[in-house]
Amino acid sequence: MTGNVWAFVAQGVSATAQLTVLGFALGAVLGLPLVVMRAAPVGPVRWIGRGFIELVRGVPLVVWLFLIYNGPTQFDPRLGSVFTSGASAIAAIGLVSAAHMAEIYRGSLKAINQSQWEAADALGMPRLDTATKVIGPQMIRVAVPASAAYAIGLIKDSSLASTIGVFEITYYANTAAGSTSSALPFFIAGAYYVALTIPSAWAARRLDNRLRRKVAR
Amino acid sequence: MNEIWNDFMTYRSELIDGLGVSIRLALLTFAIGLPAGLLLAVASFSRSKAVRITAVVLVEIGRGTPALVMLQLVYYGIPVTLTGFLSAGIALALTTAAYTSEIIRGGLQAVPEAEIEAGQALGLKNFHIMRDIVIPQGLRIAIPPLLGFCIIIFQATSLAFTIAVPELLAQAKSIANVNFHYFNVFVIAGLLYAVITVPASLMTDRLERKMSRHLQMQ
Amino acid sequence: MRNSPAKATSPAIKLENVEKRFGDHVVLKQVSLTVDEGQVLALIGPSGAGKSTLLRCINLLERPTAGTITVDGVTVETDHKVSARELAALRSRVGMVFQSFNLFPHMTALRNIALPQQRVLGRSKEEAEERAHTLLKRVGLADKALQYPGRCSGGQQQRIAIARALALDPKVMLFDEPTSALDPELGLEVLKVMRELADEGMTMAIVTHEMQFARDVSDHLVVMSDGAITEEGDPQEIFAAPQQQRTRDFLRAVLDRR
Repeated sequence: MTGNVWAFVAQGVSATAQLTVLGFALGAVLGLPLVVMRAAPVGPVRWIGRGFIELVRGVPLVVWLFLIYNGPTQFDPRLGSVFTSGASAIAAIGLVSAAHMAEIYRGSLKAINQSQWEAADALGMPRLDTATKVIGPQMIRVAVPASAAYAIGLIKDSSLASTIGVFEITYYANTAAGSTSSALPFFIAGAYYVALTIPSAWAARRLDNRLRRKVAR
Repeated sequence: MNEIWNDFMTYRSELIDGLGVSIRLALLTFAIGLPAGLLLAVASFSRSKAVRITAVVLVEIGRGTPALVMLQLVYYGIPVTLTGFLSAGIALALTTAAYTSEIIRGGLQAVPEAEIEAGQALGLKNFHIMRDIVIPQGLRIAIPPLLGFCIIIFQATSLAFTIAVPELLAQAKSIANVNFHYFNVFVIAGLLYAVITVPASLMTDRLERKMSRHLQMQ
Repeated sequence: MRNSPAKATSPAIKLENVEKRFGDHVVLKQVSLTVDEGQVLALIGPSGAGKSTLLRCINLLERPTAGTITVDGVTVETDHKVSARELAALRSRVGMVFQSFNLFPHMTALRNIALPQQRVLGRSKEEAEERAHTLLKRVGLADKALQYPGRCSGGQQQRIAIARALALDPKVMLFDEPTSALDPELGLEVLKVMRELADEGMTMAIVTHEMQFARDVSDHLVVMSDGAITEEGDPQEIFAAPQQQRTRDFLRAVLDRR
């Protein structure tokens, strides 16, 4: 029986991985325009950026999930087939990640010495070149540890997708718990999450070390 | 917009009640979780290897397990029958303890080694060095990230709907299941969370800036 | 030179064959030395000579790998595990002043001085704070009692640190480059307090780069290099006519700079 439960819950591992990877990728990309807005020299643009980031981060992920998954059906029930549970989950995770990633990018921008802008200006480099060739690569390098920590956190956060019916680890654990009326499936789910987290943390550390050697700081 | 306002006025007492439950659940979580986090942080500095390892294992399990899974584990896994509210408080407190112990540990480690050495040279016992020198300063350093984490945990109370705690999201769901105004009701619920979390986060930012200026002065 | 009262001299600090190694690297090679009660010992030598390490061995902030340490009649053999009781007995007799002051930044000057008395000697808060006020007055900082260290100059912080160490009634005081982190004029106010302390008959061991001070205030001079004592004796004589080539090189290097 126990062996069956392990295999049963394991069916959710790949969905958990997909939610994490796709949600994070969406967030990492959408975070870039957000951080540009957040750091913009124009006041109103900056305020909109900041307001958006604060609002997205201020609302729990599970509320975003329900809002994106169930919200549209209020206007037209047929929208339910557009906002499937999988697509909604990736959208919600991507949205929340974008706001968090923008803040991580902003933190690394601040960590890069202001004098580098000045140095590039003094050399007569165009500002766009400075942003993409000088500051950008360093920003990404500095952002790696925090981004990796965030992505690893998403493995666990993706468990919330079970509440809108995505067939991931926690969903299978819930189903198994319902039919066996024991908490064992949740222990098993916990073990899978820990098992996904540990190698990810290890890979992140390796990536960080590798970049550290390449870009000596 | 108007329609959202109407829905809010119609269901405001249920929703505000739900928000009250969310806040009380968060307070219960902090009351158990923060002292436990401090205890785990201090244990990770213990001279006894067994104590250290136990602390690390507890922290890793607590951080590796999603809060949602922790909720189910405590609710269904503890043989004693607890109310959903208490189970949710305990489960979220376990998660809180694991995460905050790492935050607090970082704060404690930020206290300069030289001060610990000065305490040793003065003949202070390790217990006193920890209590009088390291913990007061380390906690002060850890305050902004701890507040940040408290905001996250307040958001996580929304998961308690899965074990039938009548908090804000649970109320919102049951209202939406009756009037089918899913969009309106979840927007209202989201805004009610934001009304607490956004000002709290702005205040935390401000405190953090103020403290880092203060530290630079010294 | 100060006039030492004629009293029976018994060693206040005695180090016998103290050795400290990190792996294969030997930092202290079988160092032995004695400081009599009421004497002021100055330790000089190039950086990396092991002066600070030797000083830190006296109160076991650094654990020697071999050797015997005696302070005011308490003897600790360092080649086996030192018990908590031995450690406490030793440290209660030794006060220490650090290069970077190491005051507790979250406490006022008064609390910095009072708290260790309460915890280590079990004095009441009132008694400890009264003593703290007396000592602050003595180091010329009566008005700084309620000030936090961050608001005091380096020289003031170091004098508070001296008061903090004195408050525990140590038998000997160790100074680890107490003025190295200070601007020269701030260093002077610290040296003045140290000189007064020496005149009152406190037993002191001082690691210093202040050659003038070492010559004028100390009773006994130890020159170290490469983890060993190269030369020791009367400070005036050594400064006037160093016997060892290494001492001559060192003194020429530091004195030429000025």
